[in-house]
Amino acid sequence: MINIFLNGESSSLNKPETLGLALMEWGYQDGCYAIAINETFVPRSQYHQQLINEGDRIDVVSPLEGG
Amino acid sequence: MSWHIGGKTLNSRLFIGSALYPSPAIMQQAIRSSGAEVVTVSLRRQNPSVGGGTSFWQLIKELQLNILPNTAGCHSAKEAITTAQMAREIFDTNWIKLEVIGDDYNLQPEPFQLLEAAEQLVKEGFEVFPYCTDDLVLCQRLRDVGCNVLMPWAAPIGTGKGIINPYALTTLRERLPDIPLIVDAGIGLPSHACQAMEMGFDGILLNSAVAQAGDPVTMASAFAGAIKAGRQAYLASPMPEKNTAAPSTPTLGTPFWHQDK
Repeated sequence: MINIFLNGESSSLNKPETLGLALMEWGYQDGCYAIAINETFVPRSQYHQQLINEGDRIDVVSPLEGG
Repeated sequence: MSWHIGGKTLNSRLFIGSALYPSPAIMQQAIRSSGAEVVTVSLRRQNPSVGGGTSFWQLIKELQLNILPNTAGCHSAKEAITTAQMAREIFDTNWIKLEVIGDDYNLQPEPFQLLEAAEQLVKEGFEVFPYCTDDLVLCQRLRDVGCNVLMPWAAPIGTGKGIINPYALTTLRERLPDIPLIVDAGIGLPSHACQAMEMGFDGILLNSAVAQAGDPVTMASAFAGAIKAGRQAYLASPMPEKNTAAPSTPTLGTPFWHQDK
């Protein structure tokens, strides 16, 4: 079991896996979003190489209104 | 008259925000009514079960404007840099409205972290639009690290107070004559925007003043007119202010005048 934080909330994965697989598991489709792990940007091209580690803080963000 | 900023040519000098409107439809109408060619957006956490910001983003894309993503809510250079990097990937633009907040009471920019983030982002190829205070030395330093535009506040975000320190903004304009200066935040009325443009500022960025008006669509149009008027007045060189009255009507030939008076 890998314990992580997804958008600030506790979550977990059954086994170590890549960010790309985890995103599919969490229901993120090929949408308009970007990702940071532990406050570091992860380019889309790296989703399938980036492994998720215990305690990672993952932020998935999308466009929203702003001033 | 067109102008150039961040590698693009614009006709409007109004940058407009996309937040706080009564409805998405009114947001679209107001932005169109403003004539703005640049719209600001943000990035926020997305929950896939609610679809995230997909519908919002569709509405913005329909407007076919230049996108200026912001780093609103960031409190450190690290957070702001990461947000900018994510924004560049999503919006496919190197423009970033750089916000690093130092005080949550008045949302005042954190000058040291702002400068650090600006320097790094410029090195990474971003066109940085820093939201900053009206501090001259900070603005000089931001220019020195490679910012090609500066965005000093008129007043704290969302206050609508207008220009609370005209001396500081006048000084900025005088001391930084060659860099575009956009007044960002604190504008409440079209007259505030007009005043800033009369002072020689190159543009206005606002959101709440339109979005929170009773009629955002009409207010957006009012701001467009005020900004054009202010720019024209600046270019027309206003008359010098005087302390004593000077009649505009000729005194020669004034009726009822007698020499013995």
